[in-house]
Amino acid sequence: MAEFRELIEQATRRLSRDRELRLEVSRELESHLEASAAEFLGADYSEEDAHAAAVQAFGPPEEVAEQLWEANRFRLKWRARAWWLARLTLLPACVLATLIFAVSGISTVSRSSQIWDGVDYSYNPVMRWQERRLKGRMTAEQRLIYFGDESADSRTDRWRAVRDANPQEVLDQLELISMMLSELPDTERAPEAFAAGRQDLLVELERGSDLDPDNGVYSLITAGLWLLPIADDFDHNAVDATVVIETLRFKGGQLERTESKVYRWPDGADEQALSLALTALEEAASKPYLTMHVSDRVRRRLAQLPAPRSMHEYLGRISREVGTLLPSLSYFRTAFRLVSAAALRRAESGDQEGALYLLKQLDTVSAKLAASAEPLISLLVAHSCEHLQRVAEVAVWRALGDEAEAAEALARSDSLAVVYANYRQGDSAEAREFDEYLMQTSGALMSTLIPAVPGYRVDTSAFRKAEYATVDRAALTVGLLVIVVLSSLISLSGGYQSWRNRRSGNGPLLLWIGWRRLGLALAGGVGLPLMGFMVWVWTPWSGRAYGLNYTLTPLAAYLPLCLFAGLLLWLLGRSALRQRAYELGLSVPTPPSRWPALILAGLILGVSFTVWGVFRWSADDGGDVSSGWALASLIATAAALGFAFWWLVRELIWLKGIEKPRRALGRAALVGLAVALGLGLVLRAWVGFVTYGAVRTELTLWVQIIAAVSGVGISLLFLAGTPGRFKVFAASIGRSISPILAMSGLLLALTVGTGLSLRERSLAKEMVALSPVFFDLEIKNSNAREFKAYLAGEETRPPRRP
Amino acid sequence: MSLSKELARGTVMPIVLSLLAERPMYGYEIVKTVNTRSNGVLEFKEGTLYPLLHKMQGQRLLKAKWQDGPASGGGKARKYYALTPKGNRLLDASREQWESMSGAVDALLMGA
Repeated sequence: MAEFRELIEQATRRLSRDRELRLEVSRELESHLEASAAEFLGADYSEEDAHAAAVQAFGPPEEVAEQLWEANRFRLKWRARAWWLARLTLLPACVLATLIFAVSGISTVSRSSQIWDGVDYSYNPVMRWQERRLKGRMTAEQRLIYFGDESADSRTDRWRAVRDANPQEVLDQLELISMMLSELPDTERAPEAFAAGRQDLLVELERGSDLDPDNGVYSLITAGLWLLPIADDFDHNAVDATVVIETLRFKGGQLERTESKVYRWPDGADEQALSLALTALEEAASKPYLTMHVSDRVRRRLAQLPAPRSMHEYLGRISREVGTLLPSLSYFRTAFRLVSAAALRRAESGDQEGALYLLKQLDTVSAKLAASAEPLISLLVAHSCEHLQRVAEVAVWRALGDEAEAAEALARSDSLAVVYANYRQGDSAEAREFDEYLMQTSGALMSTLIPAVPGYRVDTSAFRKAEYATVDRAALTVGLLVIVVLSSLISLSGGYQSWRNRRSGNGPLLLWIGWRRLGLALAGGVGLPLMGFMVWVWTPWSGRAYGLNYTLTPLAAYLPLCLFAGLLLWLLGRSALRQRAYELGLSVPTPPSRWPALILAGLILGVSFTVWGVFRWSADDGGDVSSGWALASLIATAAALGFAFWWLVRELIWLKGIEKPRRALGRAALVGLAVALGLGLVLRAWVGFVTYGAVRTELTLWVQIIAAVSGVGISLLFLAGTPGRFKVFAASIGRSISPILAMSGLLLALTVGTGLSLRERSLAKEMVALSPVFFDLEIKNSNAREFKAYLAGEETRPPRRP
Repeated sequence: MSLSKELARGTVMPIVLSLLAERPMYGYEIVKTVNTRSNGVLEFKEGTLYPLLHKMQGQRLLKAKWQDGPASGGGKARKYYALTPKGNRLLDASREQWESMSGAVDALLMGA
């Protein structure tokens, strides 16, 4: 055989640049020479002569070497380029894709927190980058209207610049007034600054009234502004400061008779301010409507934004909407409290006509406030004002000594409470049932945004689907992250082994399994599980018809998906690689029995379904999992994990061809145990003494889990490092599975990632189409519509601004 | 009698295509079949077949697949070559060319 080896060596020497190709050609030539020699042997040649004859028949190796190089030149070139391209691009592309998904995930979570908790994320680089990108898609004018003048020193100046750019735009004037009201200094701590601020505001309110002459809101705010120092100075504890009226109120979900207080006009309070306030109130009552144009303002600002392309961009719109300023509402109540006090003073001095005139003014204003209410909060303020007015009416009639009229006024006040209670409790069993259904199916985001109004009928499915798309995206990011880490670690290990064996030529090979087998591995390991998952998602059993606020069970499907995909990818990949290694003449182990892998696949699916079923069933049953079922689920999961560990160990032993597996296992277990114990002690000491200065028992469980998992990991690594018969084969499988892994990650990112982005885009459009301004829906689509009609009387809505 | 080098070079590719049109074969099998069917007239240095097979594979005329050989040969894995559709088309074209050329050569050399 030595002459064969020499001949093959010479014939293939020009292919040495590509070790795998040279091995393949060598194997082919060797097979030829063996067959040739066998034939000569059959013709009664001696073994030596047969070999010599086979070499003779083969021809001169130098000529064959030249021709082989010529024939494979192009192949050598493209294979070298393809490998370098794969090395340089596959893993970085995978990392890049992971980062892109992570950025989007961080933005979505940050935007959600902004909606729920009003958190300022200006420090967050991802959010700042997103904001810059958003601005890049807007014109200078759009940016000014949406963000205000960003170079301005104060928030008021920021919006003054917008108003100055559009001096005839009522909505910009109101935006400025809202900002000035929110920045108005405190009357008690800084009375002079307050007076100056009020003066500036009165100028802007006057200007607003000129621009928007049918709107009485400017006059109502003016009345509130004049009375604000008196309200802030009001001493509730002073003797006879208030008159107490026992009225019906709807509190804590039930109607009860409780104390309502009517202010008495404080002695020595600023009479001139009252006079100015009453004039302003009279003017407000005479105007056709009273509105801050909240919805119109939000609509105008949101119209400047480009159409949202993802969930986080849509959430950005919502956070802007939720953060809309509604400061003027408190001024309305201030005006009502103190004008009621003035009416009571007139009644106590016997001026019936004067007192009733003021009450009538308040009644007119509260009805107009209700008629103009667009966000639900405005309607609730109108209700509060109406309540203050009706209770004041009782106090006024009692002060006038007319008990019959006082009783009628009390009945009117009580009836308001009854109508309000009916509205809040839902007017029918159907409405209440719908509320429950809505809370179950709307998703975590919408369930917090849905105002607490009964019979709120909005199709929230797009919100729920977008939420699932976001969670899918997060799961994809985690999956890609795992792939990137695994792939990098395996690549590094392969690179190290190649470097270590660079002289002996026994380093791991980078095996090329061919497009067909690569396609099969990717289709089976990525495509098949994903298709199964998509089919599952579309079935009613997946639980995706419910929101994540109601049940988290749909998320449980990610774990079996990942385990199943990982198992399939490994089985198909390693089978193809083993076949290739065999073709190249490497020493390879015989394929292991398929049963354990099949049992593992069955266990993953079976246990997942069982655990999922138990929790899904319990969610329908009120969320309580019986201890028996919980224990059964735990045992099933532990059994599956134990079997998976055993299978993994078996694979490692097979792959390496470890000769004395029990001894190797024992050593690995000892090393793992030592690491777990040592790490556990170090971690406990670190967590306990360095961080807290004492042992914290509640952290011990986590410390133990981390130590145990690390111990298991180290013992597996130790086992992987144990020498065996198929060292080159095992190392080659490791080195070659890395690009397959990276390719599957890239495939995932390109298909699922793109699919999810497109889905988010279409869902964002659907959500915007539902209503450009969410406030609009609160009253329009709920029982609040009837309550609003009740409060507004016969008043009509204000005309909508374009 | 053996063929001149030039004539052999021009005919080897169509011959290989023609053999593989019958069934997939591995390198040594091709060599043996050519030798047997041509009674040694077309005998060529065996080693030079492989560069030709690789070249034809590179030109997408052939496809190759490793599979276990017949049990009589020890069942060892061998690289089998088979025709691709492109190889089939070239074989048809080569047959047509050969027919017209051999007719012309017959007429000129044999005076037929």
